Amino acid sequence: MEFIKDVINYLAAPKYLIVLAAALLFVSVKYRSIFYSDKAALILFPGMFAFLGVSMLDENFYLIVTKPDNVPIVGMLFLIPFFTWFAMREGIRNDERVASGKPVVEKDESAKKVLCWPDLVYTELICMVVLTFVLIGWSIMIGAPIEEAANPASTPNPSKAPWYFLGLQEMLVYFDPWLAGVVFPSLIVGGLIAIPYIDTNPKGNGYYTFKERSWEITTFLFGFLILWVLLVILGTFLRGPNWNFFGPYEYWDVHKLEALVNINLSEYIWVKALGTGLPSNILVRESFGFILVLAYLLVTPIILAKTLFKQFYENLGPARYHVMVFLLLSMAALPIKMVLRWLFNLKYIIGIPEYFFNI
Amino acid sequence: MSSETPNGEGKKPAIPPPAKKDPALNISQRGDRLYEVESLHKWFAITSLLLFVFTVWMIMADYNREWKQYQRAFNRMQVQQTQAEMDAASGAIDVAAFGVLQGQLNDARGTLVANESEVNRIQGELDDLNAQLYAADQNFRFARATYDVEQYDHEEAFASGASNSDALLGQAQATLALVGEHELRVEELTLEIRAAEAELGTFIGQRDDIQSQMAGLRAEYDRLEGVRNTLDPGLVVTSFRNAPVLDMLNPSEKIKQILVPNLFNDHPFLQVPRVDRCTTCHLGIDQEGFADAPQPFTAHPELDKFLGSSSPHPMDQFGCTTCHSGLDRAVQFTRAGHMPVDEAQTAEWEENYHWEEQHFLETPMLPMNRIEASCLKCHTGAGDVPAAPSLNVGRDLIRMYGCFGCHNIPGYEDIRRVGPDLTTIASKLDKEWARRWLREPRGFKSEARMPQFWFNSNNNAPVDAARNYAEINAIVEFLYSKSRPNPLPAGRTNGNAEQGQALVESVGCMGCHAVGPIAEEEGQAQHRRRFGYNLENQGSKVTTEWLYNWVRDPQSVWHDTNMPSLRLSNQEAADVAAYLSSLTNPDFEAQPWTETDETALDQITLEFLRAGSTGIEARERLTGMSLEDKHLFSGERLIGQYGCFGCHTIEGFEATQPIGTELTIAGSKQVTRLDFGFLDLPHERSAWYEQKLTDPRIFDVGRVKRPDERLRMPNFNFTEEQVDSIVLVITGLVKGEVPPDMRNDLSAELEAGRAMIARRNCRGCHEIEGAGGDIQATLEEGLAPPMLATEGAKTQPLWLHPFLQDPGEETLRPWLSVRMPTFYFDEVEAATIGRYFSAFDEVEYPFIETSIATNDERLQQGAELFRLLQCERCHPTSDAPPPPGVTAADLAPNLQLGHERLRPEWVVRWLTNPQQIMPGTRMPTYYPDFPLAPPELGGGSALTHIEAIRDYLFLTIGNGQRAPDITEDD
Repeated sequence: MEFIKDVINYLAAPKYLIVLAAALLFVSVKYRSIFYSDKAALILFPGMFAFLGVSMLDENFYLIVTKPDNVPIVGMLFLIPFFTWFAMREGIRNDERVASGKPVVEKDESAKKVLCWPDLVYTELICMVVLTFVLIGWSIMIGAPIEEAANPASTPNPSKAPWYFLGLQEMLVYFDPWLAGVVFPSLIVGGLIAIPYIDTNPKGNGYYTFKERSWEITTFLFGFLILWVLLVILGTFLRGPNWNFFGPYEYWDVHKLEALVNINLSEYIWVKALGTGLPSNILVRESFGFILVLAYLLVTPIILAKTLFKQFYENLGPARYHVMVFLLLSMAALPIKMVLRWLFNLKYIIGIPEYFFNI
Repeated sequence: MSSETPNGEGKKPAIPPPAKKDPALNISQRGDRLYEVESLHKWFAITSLLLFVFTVWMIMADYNREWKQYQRAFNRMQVQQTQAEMDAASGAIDVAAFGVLQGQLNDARGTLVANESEVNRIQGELDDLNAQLYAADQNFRFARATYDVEQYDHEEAFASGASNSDALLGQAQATLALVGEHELRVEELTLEIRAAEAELGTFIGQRDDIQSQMAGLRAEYDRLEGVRNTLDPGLVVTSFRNAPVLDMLNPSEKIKQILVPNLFNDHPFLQVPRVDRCTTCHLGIDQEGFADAPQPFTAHPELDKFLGSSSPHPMDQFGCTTCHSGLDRAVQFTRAGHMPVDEAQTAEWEENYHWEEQHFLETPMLPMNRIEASCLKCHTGAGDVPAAPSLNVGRDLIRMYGCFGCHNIPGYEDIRRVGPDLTTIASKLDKEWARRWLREPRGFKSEARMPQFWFNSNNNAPVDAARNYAEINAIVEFLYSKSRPNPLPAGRTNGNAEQGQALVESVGCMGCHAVGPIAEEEGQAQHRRRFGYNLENQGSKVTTEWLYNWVRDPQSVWHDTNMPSLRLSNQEAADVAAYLSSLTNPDFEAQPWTETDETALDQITLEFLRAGSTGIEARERLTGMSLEDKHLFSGERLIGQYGCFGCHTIEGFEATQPIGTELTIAGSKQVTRLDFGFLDLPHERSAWYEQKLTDPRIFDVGRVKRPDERLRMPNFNFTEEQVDSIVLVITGLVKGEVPPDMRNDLSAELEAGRAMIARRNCRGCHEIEGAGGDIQATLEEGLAPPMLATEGAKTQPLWLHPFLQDPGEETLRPWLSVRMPTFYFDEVEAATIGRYFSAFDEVEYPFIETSIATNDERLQQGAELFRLLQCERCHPTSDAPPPPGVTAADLAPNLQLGHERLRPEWVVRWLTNPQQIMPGTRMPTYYPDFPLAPPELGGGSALTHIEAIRDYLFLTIGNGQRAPDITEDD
C-alpha cells in the first residue's frame, strides 16, 4: 500500500502529471471509440469513486479533500470528466451514423417539436428546485461561522487564490506576474471572444460531432482540460505550504525545501556555452532571448503558413490566420515553458529583472 | 433526464412523417413531440418534497442553535428557582395577621353594602364629572395650541412689518381670553372631583386601607410572581415569540452582548470595538444564586472581585474577553476559542462539544490555570497583583534570576545585573573553581542560580566535550586576564564555627539566603530566600578571610551589592566566616579538570576569525597565535556569544546590547514564529514557553547545526512550579492597548516604593501587603521580624526615615537576635520607602501632628489602666534583657519609644482591635465589646479608656509633646 502511495506521490509531480494527462488526452482522442464508450464510463466513474474512497483512508489525503474550500473542486473532479465523456460519446455516435450514411441524431429529432412549456421551462424549474435544496443542505453542513479577523501580517501558508484562479496561480510558477496575471488572462478572454470570428466553419452547429471538428475539439480539450482544469486541480490538491509540490498522500510540511537552481537563457549562452561573463549591456545580454521570442511570435506563423497550416491560411485568409496563430502560439507558450523548465531548469528566456521584464 | 425518449433504451425512434398541423389543445396528446414530460411530474414531486424537507431542516437548524438551547435551559432553571422562592415567600407570610385583615376587609365590605345606594350615587357623579373634565381639558389644550400659532403669526407679521400685524394681535388676544375661560372650567371641575372623591372616601377608605396592608404582607410574593410571569409568560406568548420563523420579529431568546467602552480589537489599519457575547450562553455568570449551577450557567467564582457591580472589575465596563481572551463575537463553543486546562478536559470537550483548536485564532482563551497571565494587561506596575499569587511569584523569579539581562521585558528596566561583578574575580575565586562551576553550577550547590551553559541538550554529545572544555577555559582565561585587584583588609580566621552557625540562623541571614535545599513550607512559597545566594558549600569556593570581610561589611567588598550589613562585630563576623568556611563540597573539589584540547580551540578561534574575513586569512592569523592568544581571543568572543554580560559586569561589555529575544509582546507572538523542533508538543505558545524554560536547548535535538548556530539560552533547572509561574508572566505580555480607565495606574509613590521593596527583598523578612515574611519559617514563633501591615498609619515619618537609614541606632527589641540590617539607604531611598508606606495607608506625610491634648484626670485613668492591664509584663520600658523566666519571644516592643515612633491615632486603632491589623498577634484584645468598656475595667466608653492609655503612654511613659488641656466639654 505504501509503495502504491509512493508511486502515486511520485507521478503526481507537475512534470509527470501534466505530461501523463496530456498523453492520456491525446491517446483517448485517438482511440476514442474505446475511451468514450458506455463501457468505459462504467469502469472510469466507479473507478474514480473507489479511488477517492480508498484514498480517504489516508490521513493527509482526507485532510485536503474534506477541507470545506475544496469541496467544489472535488465535485469538479467528477463533473468535468462526465461532461467531456458525454459530449464525446454523442459526437462519436453521430460520426458513426454519418459514416453509415444516416443523418445525425439531432437531424432526426428536429422533425419533432420541443415546446417551451413544459419541455424547457419545467425542466429548468426542477433544476432550480434541486439547486436550491442542494445549496441549503451544503450551507447547513458546511457552515460559514464568524471566524477570527483576517490579519495581513499573518497570512495562511499556502496562500491560495479562489479555486477558479488557481490555474493562473500555477502559471506564476513558470511566468512573471505581468504575463501570468495580466497578459495571459486577457488573451484567454479576448481569444474566447474572438473564436466565432475566426472560426466561421458551420460544421458541428446544432449537433454533436468529433470527426468534422477533430482539430478544433482536440485543441480546445488540451487548452481547457490540461492547461486550465488540471492546473486548478494541481493548485488545489497538490500545492502545499510555500507553493511547494506535495503528493496526494504527503504531509504538508512547512519546512520542506526545494533547491532554487533555475537559470536564465542568457546565462546558458554567455556563461556556460561561451565561457564569458554576462555583458553589462542589458540588451546585448538578453539579445538571444529577444531573437528567440520575436522569432517565435513573428517567424513561426510564416513558416507554419507555408507548411503545416497551409490549409488554414488558405481558408482563413491572412488576417484571421495571423490572429488565430498568435493565440495558438500564446497558448502553446505555457507548455513550452513548462517543458523547458523541467528539462533545463530554464528560468527566463528574457530576464531583465532591472525593469521587471521577464519572459 | 431531459434527453429521455419515449421508447427508452436510448434508441432514437424512427422518424415519423411530419404531423398534420391539427390544433391539439391538450398538449399531452399531441403526437409530434420529441420529449415526454410524464416523468418530469414525478421528478418535480420528488424534488419539491426534498426542498420542503431541506427548508424545514434549515429552520430547525437555526431554531436549535447552540446558544438558543442554552437560553431555553437557563430559562427553565430560572423559572424553577423563582417558583421555589415563591413557595418560600408564601410560607413566610404572617398567616394570622393576614387572616385578621381578611376579617376586617369582610366587615368593611359589609358596611359598604349597607350604603350601596349612596356610594352608587357619588360614583355616578364622579363618572359624570370626569367625563366633563376630559372634554374641558381638551378644549383648554386645543385653545392654547391655537393661541401659540396665532401668537407666532403675529410676531412674524410684526417683524416683517406686515400691515395685518395688529389684526393678528387682536385675534391672538381673543383666543387667549378663551384659553383663560377653559382653564377656569378645568380648575372648577378638578375641585368638584376632589370633593366627590373625598365624599366617596368616607365610605370606601377603610376598605382600601386594609387592602393595601394586605398587599404589603404579600409584597415579596407578588414581586416574585411578577418575575416568574416575566420569565414564563405562558405557553401562548413564548410559543409565538420564539417559534421557528416567527422568532425573527421580537424573540425573547436573543444574543446578549456587552459593548466594552474604549476597548478595541486591534486589526491592521482598523480598530473594531470589542463586543463580548459570552453572556449569551453564560447567563448566570453575574448572579449569586448560580454558584453551583452547571456550566455554562455557573456564576463567576469570585463575584466580589470580578463582574459584580461593586467589584473592581464590573462586567459592563470590563466585559469578559478583556481577561479571558477568545473571539469576542463568537457564540459557538469551539469558535469562541475555549481552551482546555489539560488532556482530560480536551477529551471531554471533544466528546461533548466537538471541540478543536482554532489554529488561526491569535487570541484563544487562556486556559483557567493560566488566567492570571491576563492581570498583567492592566496591572503593569511594580508590586503584587492581588489574587494572582502564581503570577507574582513569576515576576519575583524573573527579577531574581535576571531574565531581563538577556531579554527585554517591560517592567524590568534599569535593574542592576543580578550576577556578581567579575572585574575583580581573581581576588575572590581561583581558576579551578571557576572552571568547575561553569561546567556544572548545580554540581557545586543544589540551589545554584547560575544556569548551565555547557553539557546541555544540544552540546552534551561525546564529540562536543573537547569543545566545551576549550570554551570554558577560554572564558576563564579571559576573565582572569582582565581582573583588577580588589584590596581588602586582612581577614580574621579565628572564628567559632558553631557560634557562627547560630548567628547565621538567628540574625536574619535566612530572609534572603538558605543553606542547601529549601524546605518548602505549606502555603509559603519561600522563593524570596533564593534572593541571596545559597550558602551551601561556600568553604569550597572562597577563603575564610574573604568571607570575613564580606559578612562584616559587604559594601566595602563590592560597592554595588544588594547585601546589607547586619552590623556584626568583628568576632561575630569571624564566627560567621568560620561557619561558612566549614561548609564544603569535597566531591566538587575532587572533580578532575580537562585542559584545553588545542584542536578544538583552533576550531573555535577559526570560527570567530572567519567573521569579517575569508577562511584563508583566518587560517593565516591562527598560525601566528599562541595558546594564550587563542584563549583570550576566543574567550572574549564567547562571552559576547553567550551573553555572560547580561548578568555579570565584565570589562569591555558594559554597554553591549543583550543577546536574548525581545519579550515585550511575547504573549502575542505568533505560534508559527516559534520553532518546535522535532518535539511532540501541542502547538501553542504556553506549551512552547514551558518547554523552553524547562530545557531551553532541546529544540536543537535532531537538527544539524553549526556550533555557532545552536541555541544559546542556558538551563536554569527551574522546577515545574517555577516554570508555570514564569510562563504566566511571559504569556501575559500581550500587545494591544487597554483603555486608561481600565488600567491599574498607581501613584508614583506606590510604584517607586514597591520597586524598592522588591529590589531590597524586604519581604524576605517582613510581610508587606499580605505577602512575604519567608524568614518566619526558620525562626521560633515570636522571634520573627514584624509584619508591616498599616506601617504607614502606624509610624511617624520623621522616626521611620532615620530608622531606615541606620536601624542600629535605636532598636525596638534589643533582646532579639534577629535585626533590621543596615542597607545604607541614601535620603532618596529612605524617603521612597517612607512615602510608600504613607501613600499605601493614605495618611499624611511627612509632617504630622504628634502632640497630645489631654488632662490630668485622663492621665491618671491611663496610669490606672496601664497597671490593671499589666502592659509592662510584655512591653518593657527599658533596653534591659528579659528577666529570668521570660523569654525574648514573650517580649513586645519597648514602650519608651512609642511617643516618637507611633502615630497617636494609630495607637487608638491598635488598642481597639489588634487582631484586625495583625492577625495572629499576641497582643490581647482588651475591648472586645467596643464601643463599651468591660465592667471589670470600670465600664464606660472604650474610646475614652483607650485614649487615656495612649495619653499616658505618650506623655508619662514617653516624653511627648502636650497640647493645651482638653476640658470635659470637648
